[in-house]
Amino acid sequence: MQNRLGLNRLLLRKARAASVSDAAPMQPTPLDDAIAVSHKRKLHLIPIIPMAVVGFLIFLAIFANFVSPHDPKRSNLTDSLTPPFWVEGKVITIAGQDRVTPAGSMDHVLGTDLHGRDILSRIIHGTRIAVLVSGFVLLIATTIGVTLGVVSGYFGGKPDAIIMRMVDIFLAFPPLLIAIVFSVVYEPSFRNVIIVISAFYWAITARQVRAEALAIKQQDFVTLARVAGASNLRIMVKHILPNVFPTVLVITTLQVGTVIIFEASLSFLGVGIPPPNPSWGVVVSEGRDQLQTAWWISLFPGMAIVIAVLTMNTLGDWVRDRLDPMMQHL
Amino acid sequence: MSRYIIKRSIHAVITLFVVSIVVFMIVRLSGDPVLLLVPDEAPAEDYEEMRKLLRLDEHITVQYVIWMRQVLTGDLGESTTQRLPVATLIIERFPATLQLTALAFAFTLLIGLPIGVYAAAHRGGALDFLARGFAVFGQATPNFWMGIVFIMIFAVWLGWLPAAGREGGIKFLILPAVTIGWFPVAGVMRLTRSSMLEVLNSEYVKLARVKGVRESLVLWKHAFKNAALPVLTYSALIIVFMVRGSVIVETVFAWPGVGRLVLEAVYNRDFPIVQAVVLLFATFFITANLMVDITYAYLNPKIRYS
Repeated sequence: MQNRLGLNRLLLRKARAASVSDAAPMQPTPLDDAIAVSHKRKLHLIPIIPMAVVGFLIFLAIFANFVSPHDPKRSNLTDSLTPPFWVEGKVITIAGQDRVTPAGSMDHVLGTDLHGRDILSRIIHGTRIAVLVSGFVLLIATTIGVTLGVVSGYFGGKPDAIIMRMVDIFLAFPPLLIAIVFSVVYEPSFRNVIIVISAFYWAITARQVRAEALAIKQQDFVTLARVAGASNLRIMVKHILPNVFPTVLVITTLQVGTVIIFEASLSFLGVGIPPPNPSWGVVVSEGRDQLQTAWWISLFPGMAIVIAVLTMNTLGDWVRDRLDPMMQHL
Repeated sequence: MSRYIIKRSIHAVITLFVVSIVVFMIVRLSGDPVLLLVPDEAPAEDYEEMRKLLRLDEHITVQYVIWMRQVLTGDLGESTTQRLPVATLIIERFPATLQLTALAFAFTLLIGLPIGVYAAAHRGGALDFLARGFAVFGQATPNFWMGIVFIMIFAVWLGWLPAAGREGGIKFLILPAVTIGWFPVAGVMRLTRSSMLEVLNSEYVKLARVKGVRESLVLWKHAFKNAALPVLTYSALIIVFMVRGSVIVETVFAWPGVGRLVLEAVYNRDFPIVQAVVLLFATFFITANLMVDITYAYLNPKIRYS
């Protein structure tokens, strides 16, 4: 009896997701047609690539110490500003004297920065920072957002009004500015970056989850559960929570990319992850003064950001289409 | 409708009030501005006197009330490091930010709208594919890095445009404006495309086609006029997004606007400037949101009564 309608919905989704993943060219159902019309099917094969990339990034994050060829923080001034391996040494004239610029070597595949630190190693260790920050932020923000969202949607009335007002307020702040101010109040650190970013993301999640919970609450199985004498807590945990899960998964996946960009932006401005920790944003900003001579310092970590965000967005789109075609406005 | 407007306006005011308190509190917690003004070797009396002068010795709620009363009368206080009225400083820097935002906004609409319409009309075509690819990349590329790549290509490598600064005409505006517009272009394009697709599917467009109306007329007169509505409301949010993003882009291009003013102020712990700018941006954002909500409610009665 318990939760029949919701369960059916979930099973349906699971069945659909399963049937798509094991047989790529399947018969299109009317639902798939509808999706195709609004979203242009291109996603049947695609998740394999982003999933592989995400797996690779997580692998890099965990085994950064073993994978990266050099210590990302150790400077070695004799190697300063070595270009990537394919760049050859050039003769330039400085103050009437001919000098040969250093040539790239396989020792530093993507070159080095002003302090002679290996860019590739810094990017690899930057992956660890990006993965950890987005992981922690989404864990915190999702936990708070889902809890408050479910409570808000389920109870309605006063609690709902208060929570939603809070959401409004948090979403009304200019996030970057507040984050900048915060980082100056409390010295920039890994922990503070996570706190600041989470403070904005819980609100987005809470708003979405509330809307979903509101709709679920009105369904028959919730009424039946209540008639059967289930407590509010039990209804929320056992009946509403499982049904908002697909929404939460979609929101969270789609948020990863924006969290990565947010962290990188803060670090770029010097108010995020403190240097010399190789956050991607930090490395990009370190190359800013060397754009004339050493373009590789800023270019490659930025590419890492784009690849990571692109991958997560593609994956998020895919999860959204698979789990809930009704949410395509997100 | 008027009830809805009143309700939403009250919410907006409450939000603004809380924002102002939080801004005030955060900024107050960020360290002692007196220490920056008074030299280290100065006697304690000087320090106390400076505190009194800035009224930092009062209770924090009193400080808030004093500050709020001033803000409401248009007095945003005096910069603690530059000894000038904050309002003057903001007004001085504002045109630079406004220029940038205006050009970026024009760029966004001029590129985003036509491409979006074209992509919808020729669904599955090469440009549609390209436009969607562009949108996907636009959303994955951080502002600051885009700016740096533009500098690398157009300033360092090709030498066409200046890398930073503002003195000397429109040339200096192009790179920062395109950098700010990059992300919103992707958004406008996607929204125009999906909105156009929806409208093109409707009965009255089919009727117009059946009647033999020229395709370009169907596209621009019949369909676009209706499809443009969501894009227009969205553009209110774009402007907000741009003004907010100005902090980053102005830093990258050393553009002397409000965004850089506030970042410098944060580094110098110049409370009044930070408070004023954050409050200004928040007010701007809340007002824009309110207007968007009211427009939506006006267009869609369902929202009004929910």
